[in-house]
Amino acid sequence: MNTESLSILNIFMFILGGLSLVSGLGVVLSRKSLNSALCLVATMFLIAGQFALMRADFIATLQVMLYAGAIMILFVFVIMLLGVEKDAEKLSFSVPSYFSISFVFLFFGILFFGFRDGIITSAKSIVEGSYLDQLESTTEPINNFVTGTSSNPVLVPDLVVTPKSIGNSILVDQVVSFQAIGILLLASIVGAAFLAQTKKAPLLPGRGLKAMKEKHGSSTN
Amino acid sequence: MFSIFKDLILSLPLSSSLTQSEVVLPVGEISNSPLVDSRLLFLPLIPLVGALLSYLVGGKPKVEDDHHSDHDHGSSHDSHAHHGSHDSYKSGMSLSAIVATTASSLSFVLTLLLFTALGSGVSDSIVASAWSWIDAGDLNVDFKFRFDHLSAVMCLVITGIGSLIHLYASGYMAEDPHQPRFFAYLNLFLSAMLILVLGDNLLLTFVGWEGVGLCSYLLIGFWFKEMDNAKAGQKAFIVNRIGDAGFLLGMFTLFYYTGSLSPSDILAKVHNMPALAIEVAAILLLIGAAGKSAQIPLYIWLPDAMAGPTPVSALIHAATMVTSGVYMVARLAGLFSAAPHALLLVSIIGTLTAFIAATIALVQNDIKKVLAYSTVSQLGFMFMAIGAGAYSVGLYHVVTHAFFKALLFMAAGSVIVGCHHEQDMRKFGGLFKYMKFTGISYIAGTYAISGLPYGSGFFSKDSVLWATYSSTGLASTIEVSNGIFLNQALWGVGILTAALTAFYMTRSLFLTFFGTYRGHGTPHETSFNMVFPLLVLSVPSLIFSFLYGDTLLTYLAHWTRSDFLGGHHALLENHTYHQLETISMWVALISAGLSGLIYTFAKGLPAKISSLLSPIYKLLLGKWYVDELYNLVIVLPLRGISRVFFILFDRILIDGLLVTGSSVVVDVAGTTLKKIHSGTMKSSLSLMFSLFVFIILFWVIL
Amino acid sequence: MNELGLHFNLLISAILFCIGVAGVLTRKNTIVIFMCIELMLNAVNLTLVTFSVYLNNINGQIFVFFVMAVAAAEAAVGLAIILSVFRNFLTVESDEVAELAG
Repeated sequence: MNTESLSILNIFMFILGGLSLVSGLGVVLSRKSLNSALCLVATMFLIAGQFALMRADFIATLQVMLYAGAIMILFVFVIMLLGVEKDAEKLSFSVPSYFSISFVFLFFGILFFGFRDGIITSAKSIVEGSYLDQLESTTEPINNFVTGTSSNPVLVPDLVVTPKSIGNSILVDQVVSFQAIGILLLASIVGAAFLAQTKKAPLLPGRGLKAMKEKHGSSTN
Repeated sequence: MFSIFKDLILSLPLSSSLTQSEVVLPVGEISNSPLVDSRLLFLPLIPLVGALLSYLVGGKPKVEDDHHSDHDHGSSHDSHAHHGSHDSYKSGMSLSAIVATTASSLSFVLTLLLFTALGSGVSDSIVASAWSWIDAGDLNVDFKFRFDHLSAVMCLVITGIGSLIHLYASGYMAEDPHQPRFFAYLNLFLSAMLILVLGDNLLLTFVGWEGVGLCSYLLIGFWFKEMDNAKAGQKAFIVNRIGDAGFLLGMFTLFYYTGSLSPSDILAKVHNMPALAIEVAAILLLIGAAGKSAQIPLYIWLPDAMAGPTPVSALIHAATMVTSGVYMVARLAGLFSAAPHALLLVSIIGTLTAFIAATIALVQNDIKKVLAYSTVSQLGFMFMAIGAGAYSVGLYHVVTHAFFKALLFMAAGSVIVGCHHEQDMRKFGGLFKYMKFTGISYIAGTYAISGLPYGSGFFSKDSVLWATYSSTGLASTIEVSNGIFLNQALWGVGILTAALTAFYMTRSLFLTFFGTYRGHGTPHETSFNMVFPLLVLSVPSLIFSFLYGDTLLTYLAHWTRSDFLGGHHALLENHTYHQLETISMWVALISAGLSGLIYTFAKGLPAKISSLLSPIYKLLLGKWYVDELYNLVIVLPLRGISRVFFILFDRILIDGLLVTGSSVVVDVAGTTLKKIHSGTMKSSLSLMFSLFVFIILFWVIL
Repeated sequence: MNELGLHFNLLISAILFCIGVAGVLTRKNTIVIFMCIELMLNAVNLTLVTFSVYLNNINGQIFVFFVMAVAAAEAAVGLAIILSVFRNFLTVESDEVAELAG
């Protein structure tokens, strides 16, 4: 292992990445939904940390504010509102689950083996003068890291995110997408507000709260 | 005893006075341009129409008592009990019998007309083409009939004796309720046989070949309600079929090398064929002939065929079908003359067949079986003649054999009917005083077949033996022991067979007609319908060869060896021939006389001899255990294999795996796939994701 | 940050995505399924930002901005739907809402 090119930032990167994996697993594997929500919050914070390490501070801040701050609050509210389950969900892996999980592994295999060279190579040809152009082969960084040789000097990306560049992008280059996002948010607000209304009459006969209560007995509440 | 024979043979001059150039085997093609006469087309057509009509017309004569009308003649070994006095001594003919006999008589008349047209005309043959049958690339086959000297002889025999047998059958089957079917089959057989003989193309001959095989099956198993009869019919058909496979392969070979299936074309192109091809084609065709003409190893069907009605035996297995093999070889004479190895094989097989069948006939107790084995034996003689290259001599023996064998079979049938359907000769005896006409006919037939002097069998059998002795094919070059060549050894076996023939035929005569009656009830003479053909056929059996033997050989000059063309008196001038003829005459006389003496005065002697030589007796009585051998070697393994395949393929694979399995697959698939429709979000998400993965996978791979 | 970060981040992102997919396909609680969807979105965000940094292009981060906005909208609507479903079925377990079972 070539520890010469390992800087403190790399170590932080490894730690943050590893922890985010752990908390991601926590999201999926926890029994109680509230635990899942808290693990997700932790994952978001950790990913925000990754963003910060890469000097994408704008996005890091947005991640914390939006995701961890607003969306997850929403989730926690809904979980609290709909009641924590009396019995913690037992994670049962039934046959359909095995079937699906195998596809997940297959997908990961495809990602890992199939896309590594292709996308990076095509990315190299799209963007000129980028950092990747200076690499001779796509696996060079890892080779350097593992075998301990370094034919190239250490290269550091030097993207600088300024409000000017962000503003340029939002309001000049990608203005259409920006406005569309605005409309989308408006639509979602209207939709959510409508869906969350309470109505006196049930939407379907035999499906109202009273009917459900009679069906399930009073055990759920 | 054998040393006597050996000395006799050794004392004869070995080098015959005939040189190589004088004995010319017939080769070459049928010569001059044929006459076209469309009356020929009617010849096979009349019996065919007759078959249809006699089936549709049907009926039994009204003179019959009705309460016997439903008794099937279930088995040919019917017990004598239930027939009483109602056997066929009435001469009423059912309508179908009348139609059928008229049809065959008409075809006989037509044959005579065509025969005279041929005799007086300018040409060697009459042809008539019905239509162009196959026109496929190189293969051009017309539905064309050819009436030349060879076919003329065969047609005369077929239609003439056929008509007499139809008349006979109308008497024999008078009590049978299934007469329409019977006569339809008989006429159908006649038609098929005529197609066989008249066909100008091997394919057309094959149509007739198969047709007679089919009719043989139908007629042998006529009383099919008895399992044994059905099995006998089946055996005949299957063994015949094996021969037919050989015939087909021979046809394929010939077509491959000559591009045609017409005998005239084939014979013209024989010189161009490689020698091996000629031999192979010849042997394959001979397999077909062996199947039809009951040679070793395909003779086993003929004795079993006695399960059919006696007229069937008379027509098919004496006069016509079994001679079609001989006819086919004669038709392609040029081909066979160019295949000396095949001819050698034929001689050996013919001789062996003749000998073995004769030994089996010696110990049989059923009169029809005696006659059946004697048929096989005589067919062996015909093949001996063919193997020697003397095709017309083989045909000569065909003609005389047709006369006396049909006579013998019909007489035997008459005896059987007269003794109330008894067939075991041990229950006969002294029938002469009850059935004089039948007796006279049987004596005439026995006289002819034994080769007693100046009967028709005498001349033909002697010609066969002489042809074998003096053959110049391969058989004359193989030395069996010091100084004796194969053809002379075959002659020796032939003489021995002739002796056996005389012996067992006289035995059957004496056991049946002389002595005291050992059976039940009173035998009676049979009806006019049955006796008349007997008397008619007795005449040619006795005098045909004397009057017309030489004419026949000259008529078939194209197929005759040159030393036979001068006639009998020319042959007699050959010293060797004279000696051989004398030997055979004395042999026949002595063995016939011996047999007569034993079975008149020393009736206990045969039993003593058979118990003395009991292993040999058992072997002969068991028909040399050939059927059992075939059963062991062929039938049982085949059954075993088919059982394996049945269980393996049919039950396990097809029934189990494919049929039941496919339903199980559908069932399981349905049950499994049903779970997709569980309606949960999870299942739809899983499905979506898995398909997405597949798409990505293919995108990456391709 | 040096060139090793590229590969590492991409790997982390892929694994997180697959974990998210596994969660979506496995869990029964609808809210947890939603949270796993959010996890997937986060993994994608990580990929986008990584590429944006290493390709020296700001548009990647703007795309992340939009993705977050969409995620917010989707979370709002989705949770509203879950509330409706809860009101009608009294449960958030996806297996019990099998009305379309065939």
